[in-house]
Amino acid sequence: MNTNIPDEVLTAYVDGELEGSERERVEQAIAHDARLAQRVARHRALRGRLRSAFDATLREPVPQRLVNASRLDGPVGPAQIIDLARVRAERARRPERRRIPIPRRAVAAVAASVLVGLGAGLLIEHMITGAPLTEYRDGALLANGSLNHALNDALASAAPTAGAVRIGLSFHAKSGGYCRTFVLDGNRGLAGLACRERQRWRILTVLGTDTTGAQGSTQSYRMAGSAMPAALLQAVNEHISGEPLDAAAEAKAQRNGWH
Amino acid sequence: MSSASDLLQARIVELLPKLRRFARALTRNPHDADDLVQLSLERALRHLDQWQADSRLDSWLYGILKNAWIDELRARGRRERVFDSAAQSEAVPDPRGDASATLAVEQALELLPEEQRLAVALVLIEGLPYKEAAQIIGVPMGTLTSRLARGREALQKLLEPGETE
Repeated sequence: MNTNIPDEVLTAYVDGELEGSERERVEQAIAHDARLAQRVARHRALRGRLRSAFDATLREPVPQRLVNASRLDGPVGPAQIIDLARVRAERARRPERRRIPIPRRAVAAVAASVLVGLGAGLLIEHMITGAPLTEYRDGALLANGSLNHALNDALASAAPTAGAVRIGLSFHAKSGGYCRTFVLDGNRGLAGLACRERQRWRILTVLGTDTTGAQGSTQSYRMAGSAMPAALLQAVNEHISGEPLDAAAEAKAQRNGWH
Repeated sequence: MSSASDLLQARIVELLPKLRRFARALTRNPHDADDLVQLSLERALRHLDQWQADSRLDSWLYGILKNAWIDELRARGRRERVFDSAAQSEAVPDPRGDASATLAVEQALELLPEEQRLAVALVLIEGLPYKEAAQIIGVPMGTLTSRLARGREALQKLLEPGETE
């Protein structure tokens, strides 16, 4: 019987992450191997211990102030509810998730580009209004100007920012080269994923990170720190091979020119 | 008030006990926890249009709570204090009963780095799937599972120091 089941498989089993044949394989192995069963029991016990330490909270009465704070017709006022209904109706009409207006001039360019998401309109806006951060060549959108400099030189592990571009994760792509996520600060944040292709940074995904339309404080919903828009994360998950680079690996890749 | 928003409100109220539990695990202080839940609810209601009806409401709220907590940590500049303040947290009176078992778990959890504590709280305490937890924290799946593994290992060492393997 195969008792060589690594711990991460056992914990995935305990956490309910295994399905079908994988799950059956582990279950069979446990049934035939007491040591394995013991390891599983230990993981279960830790889970149970954590749960029981905090589950007491579930049985406490919820303070009234929190119930009040959940009221849609409470402090926010009725205007918000009307707004909510409108936003939902809009969402039902069109499947896109973002409400960022696209400048008309950009529409044709977006249609022709490989960009994903309505954030594309904003990147083109950057192109139109500011120094060009991208160039469109041979059917690919490539990083240019300060975006290109940041992708080449900036280290996420070093001081957080050198200008308007911040670098997030760097990693090896399944297809071979390096990829890096970036955030452009500005009136509206933009986040994206660029991957090394033929000695250039090709931009695969761009998203608006500020989807509230600049109403009120949106700071905490921006891509501050480690948080990343779900769609960008999904793009990372699709391309990443292994773990993101740590600081040393990032610095080394940078010194080697991302080859 | 429309029946749709009635329903949404009812679902949020239903999630309050779990949000309080998550906040407890992060703050290790009942008063801070409820303040954090309240702040998160206020933020959530202001940005309801960001919730996508086809995504999990609990995950969205956990995410807002996590962001609010990280903002709070930054604002207080208290990251450093959190790590060497086991004594300080003991001074906070805890209204709950069976103190010793709970206290041991809380103290062990307190010794973890914030990123591991978040992973442990979402997966082991809140019982979320890896995918949801990774999305809430904003990291790839592999990063989530390795933080979880390190958190587990540390907790096992702290809570069952006699047992090896």
